[in-house]
Amino acid sequence: MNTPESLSLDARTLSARQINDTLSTLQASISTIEIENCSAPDLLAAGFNVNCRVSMKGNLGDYCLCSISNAEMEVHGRAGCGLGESMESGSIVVHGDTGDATGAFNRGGFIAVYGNTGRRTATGMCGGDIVVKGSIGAQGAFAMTDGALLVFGAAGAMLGHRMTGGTIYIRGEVESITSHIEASRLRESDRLRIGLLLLKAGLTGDAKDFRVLKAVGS
Amino acid sequence: MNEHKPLTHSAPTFAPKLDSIDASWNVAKTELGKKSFAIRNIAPNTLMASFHLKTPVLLRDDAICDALELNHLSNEVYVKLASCIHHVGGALLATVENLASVPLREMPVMIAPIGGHSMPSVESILSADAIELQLGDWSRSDTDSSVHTSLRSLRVDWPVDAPDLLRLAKKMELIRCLSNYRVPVGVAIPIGDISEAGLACWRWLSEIDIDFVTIRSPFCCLGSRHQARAYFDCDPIELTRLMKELLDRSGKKPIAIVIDHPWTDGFQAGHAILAGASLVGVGSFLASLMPSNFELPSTHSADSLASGLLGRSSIQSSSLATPSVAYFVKKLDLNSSLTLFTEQVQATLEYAL
Repeated sequence: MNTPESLSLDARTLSARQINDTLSTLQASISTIEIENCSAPDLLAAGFNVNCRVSMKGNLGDYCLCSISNAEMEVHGRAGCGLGESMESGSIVVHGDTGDATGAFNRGGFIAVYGNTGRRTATGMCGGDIVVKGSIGAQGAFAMTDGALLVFGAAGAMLGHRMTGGTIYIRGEVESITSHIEASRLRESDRLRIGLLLLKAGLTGDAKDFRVLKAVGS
Repeated sequence: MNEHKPLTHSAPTFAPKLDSIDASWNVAKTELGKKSFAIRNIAPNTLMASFHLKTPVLLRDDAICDALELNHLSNEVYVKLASCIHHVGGALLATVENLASVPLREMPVMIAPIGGHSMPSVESILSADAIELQLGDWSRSDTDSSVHTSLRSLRVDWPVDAPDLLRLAKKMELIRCLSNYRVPVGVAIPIGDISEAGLACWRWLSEIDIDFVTIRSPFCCLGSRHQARAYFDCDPIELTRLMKELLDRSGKKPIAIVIDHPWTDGFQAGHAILAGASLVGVGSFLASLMPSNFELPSTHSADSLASGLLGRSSIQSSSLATPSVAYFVKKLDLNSSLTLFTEQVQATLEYAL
């Protein structure tokens, strides 16, 4: 039974649009939302901007959690393409893999993916942070202008293509980097930032294991 | 020097309500005195308002302000005029730099700034009058010009180098979702792009759910004038076939065709119009040539346009100097195969000369 402070939605009986409509008319007193039995719906919680905690169980489809702000979202499953695109603020934690363009065009906020991500992770990102526990696909940080992308695993080809700002921290192998980025010395500020990112993502690691890649001339 | 500005051009509209505008329209028309207007219904779902003042003005906020100063119009008249434009369905803004097909949902319009290539914020989307996906290489540095903060529409660049119909359709749905399904969503694409990616755009358009299409500069995707000419010489028939197929399959989507490239010459424009002419009768159609000034074109350019229209060789004219389609249609004796197109445009762009 729902209490005034929590709301439970069953994605088996509600479409993504119905759930979104419900989310857009939330009562102010609700601070926790659980969406259960997600079976890869698209566009779920797009534009959600309420300061509350949302837990989703199951897999998400494409373009879910896009343009969100304020909310803390947790996905117990996988997600499709465009997860958290154009995010403004808040946080997203995904316990599985995600598709292409995870966190693309983000302006702020924090995304942690405990699995792998597809191509063009953090594409066009101009703010915010993304932590990937696994590996990322090709063209990671494509045209990134600001923010941080921290990758525990490997990266595909053309990492940092057309990147003009921001920072990549990567621990694993990189298939190829482009001429738009260059290795940088691990500074104390980088150590602190990596530590904070790991802390926010609930992960452990040693900052000195990460290489720092930045846009040429930045 | 007379500071002429390009005439306005029209664009697709959504559910025009003619009978609701009569009162305010009459007031505005009366108070504007000697200024004349022509409003023509050019298609079942598209209306066009052509304004011909002594000094042509753009129907943009700043240009309207110029007109207000020139003609001493009261703010009340301005609001009524704007209201008329809105209700008629939006005679629209057009310059070489700022071309758009924007139905005005509300007046005054909130113009949302867009930074970079990122998706607009939810607030921006909700305040937009229309959202236009521009199919193009958004990551190119020179595509900043495609993101106009002065337009009444938002533009979301779509990476044309990653064609994926399903994802594009989902992207459209995402924007609809973020706009609470209230803001018209359209796509702008280059007309002349018969590259693989360009053809993919056309195929997308026949499949996805869109409110309007803006066919942008036929040549904007090209690197040089010579490329453009080779481009059109290459396969205009294929281009026309694709466009017609698109419209046949997409039903009555409002279509605006905008030819805006500064180095558009008569031959190229003629080809573009020729291609556009095939759309007449299929869907709403509008063709505009909006170069950078409004000086009357030279005979040389006119001949070049005629050559292009008739499919002959180019006369290698210099850049066409800012004509309007109406002018050409009135001045040129076109091939009989373009009769339908001619009549449509003449009926549409009836200037009160």
